[in-house]
Amino acid sequence: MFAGDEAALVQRLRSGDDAAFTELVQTHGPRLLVVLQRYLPQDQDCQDALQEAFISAFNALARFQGDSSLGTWLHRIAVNCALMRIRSQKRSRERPIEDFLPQFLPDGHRQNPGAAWAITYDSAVTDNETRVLVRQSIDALPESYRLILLLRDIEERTTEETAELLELSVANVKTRLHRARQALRELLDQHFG
Amino acid sequence: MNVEMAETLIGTELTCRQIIDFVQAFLEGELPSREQTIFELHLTICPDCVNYLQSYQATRAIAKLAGKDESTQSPLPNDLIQAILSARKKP
Repeated sequence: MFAGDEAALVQRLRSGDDAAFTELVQTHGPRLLVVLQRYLPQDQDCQDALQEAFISAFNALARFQGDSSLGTWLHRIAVNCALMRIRSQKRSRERPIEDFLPQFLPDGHRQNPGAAWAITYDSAVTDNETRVLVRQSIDALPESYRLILLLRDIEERTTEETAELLELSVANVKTRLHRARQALRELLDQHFG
Repeated sequence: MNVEMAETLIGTELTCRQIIDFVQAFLEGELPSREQTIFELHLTICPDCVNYLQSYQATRAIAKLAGKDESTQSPLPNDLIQAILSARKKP
């Protein structure tokens, strides 16, 4: 959406134009739902979080400054809604991250070093099967590690921002991010190594 | 420092396990210069750690790519759109 169109849409939203709200939901809803699906495994949770995100956005329209695009603004609201929903849910005991980390021999060498990866960046770009495999592997990570990987490596939030969102220390985020990447590397190694 | 000295240092101070622990700090330039040098020297003699480093970098790149992929999106179900719109408080 062009900046002028967006400004006009914001104007219409602020004036309470019903058609503008429909347009906003139809335009941004599908993408936001995909974003929420990264965080929430259950479809119903995603739909509920999407609804919460739009309601938060509707209520905050007066405060939308236009510093970022509407899409970016809505994206951040949706991620916050997903994180709030996760925080409010009773957590099931997650699998220890150690189960996913590389194993070592007593002398400090890796137990199964494996071969160099055959995958190229280009094949990951073009091959849908690879992207699905990577997404499934991310989904397989223990939740507290998956969230850090999503925020840091996919959302590209800073370490400090991630720490604040997840109520963790900066040092803890760094340690967990490294473990999350190591764990994901191990999962992918089974396919690419 | 010559290679022999470096290898001795590596042998006594950094194992592959430790190298792997330091991968993230190495890539983010957070290692003190001495550890950075030891890390780099280890890579010159350890192909397994070179492979690990490369696959760790690839993991980050591929995760970002796959994670950001939004090609799976499809139009929202009409009842969800209606639920969202009807929850809106009119001014």
